[in-house]
Amino acid sequence: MPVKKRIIPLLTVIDNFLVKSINFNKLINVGDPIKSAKIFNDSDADELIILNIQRENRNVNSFLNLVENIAKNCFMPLAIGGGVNTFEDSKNLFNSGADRIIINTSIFKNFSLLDEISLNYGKEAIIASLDFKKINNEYYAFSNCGNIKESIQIDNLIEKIDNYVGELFINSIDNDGSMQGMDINLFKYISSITDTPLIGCGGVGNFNHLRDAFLECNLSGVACGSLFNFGDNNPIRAKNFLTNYDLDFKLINQ
Amino acid sequence: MIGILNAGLGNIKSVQNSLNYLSIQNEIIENLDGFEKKFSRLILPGVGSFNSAMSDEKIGKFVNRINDIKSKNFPILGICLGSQILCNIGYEGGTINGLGFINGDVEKIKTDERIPHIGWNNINIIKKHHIFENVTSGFCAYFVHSYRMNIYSIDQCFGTTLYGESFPSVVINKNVIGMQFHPEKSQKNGLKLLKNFSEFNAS
Repeated sequence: MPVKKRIIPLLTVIDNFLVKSINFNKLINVGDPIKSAKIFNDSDADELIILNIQRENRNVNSFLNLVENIAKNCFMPLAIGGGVNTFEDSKNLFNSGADRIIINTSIFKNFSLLDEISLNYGKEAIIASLDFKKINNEYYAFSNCGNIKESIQIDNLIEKIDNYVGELFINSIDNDGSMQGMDINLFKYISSITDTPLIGCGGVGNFNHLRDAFLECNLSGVACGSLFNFGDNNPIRAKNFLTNYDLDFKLINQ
Repeated sequence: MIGILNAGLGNIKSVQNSLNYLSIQNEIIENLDGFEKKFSRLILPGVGSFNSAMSDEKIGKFVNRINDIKSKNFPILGICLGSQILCNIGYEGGTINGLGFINGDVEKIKTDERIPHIGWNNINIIKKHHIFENVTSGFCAYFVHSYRMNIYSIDQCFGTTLYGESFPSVVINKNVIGMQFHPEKSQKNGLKLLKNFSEFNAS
């Protein structure tokens, strides 16, 4: 029997404000991350992903207070990232209450960091966040909040990191914030070349999009920003809908 | 008062946050000197690998003291890697001796499913115990691991979980309890287990 599927609210944060991006750009202020995290904790969400997406002068230290305040009242797994450049950064985040650390830019700039973190905390505690954009029908990986196009081929990239991380967090920059559905082909392809668990992200606008992603791709979880930031959708309602399709979730109070 | 041993094995803050939330007195401790005078229970949290956990820089240097505390019947709770090192032997990063409180070894999960086993899964309670008070068999808990315990004495296995194969997820030998999942991250059920541990005394 497989592990239960996860629906993971995604909180993107700048300067202690909860923001939502569209195509990794165009940021909209959508509220208070501490209140938001508390609501997800109270409704037994499966996990939370919290990303510091500050574009300039981003550093982990200015983010630690927020992480601590969120972690104090969240008894669910917290995956946290954004600007993790050194081992010290990861250590500080773990000590502030992160359960897993999300790494993006360092995968391309400072690969030995993955080795260092996995040696101390286990590779299970590392999530590789991989942001893809389609250009002329080819997927390219981007780093630095989607600002820098990397030259490494998708297959080589996955092969390179597979042994150093516990999960892959796959983002479609094109679909981000669109609420028009997920990039199923991207997830299908990556799923076919790795045995590492995958979280898909980008484009969920309604529960049908979640259903399609879970049924068509071998995803362990789907992360959603807009779906839960705008409107009255929440993970409990999403799961109630999805259990009609033979998908196994942790239900509330279970 | 519960002592949470910070042996350099990662996430201790979550354990403390959950005990604080439950208003259970606790303290993160850097060593076990004079433990018996101040504390009544010990938690061994842990993430990472078996071989690095048992090294002298981490749990290795505390082995004698942990043995004392165990033999004086103080309740001990190992979480995740902290529960794996309760076993005799681990095969992660070599063949490594564990604490030997639980009669078993630790090997890689054998499954066609994706590894690591990350996420929520059910725990089937196979034997009654105080630690399970107010939780029902089949409850969900959060797992993050690639290795699993393999128990030689069936009487020490109290809960099992299915992921490709069935493996022990709650192991108990008298005053020593191990949980493969993270109770501190398992919402209401996990908090109940921690509360039960705070009231547990091995007779």
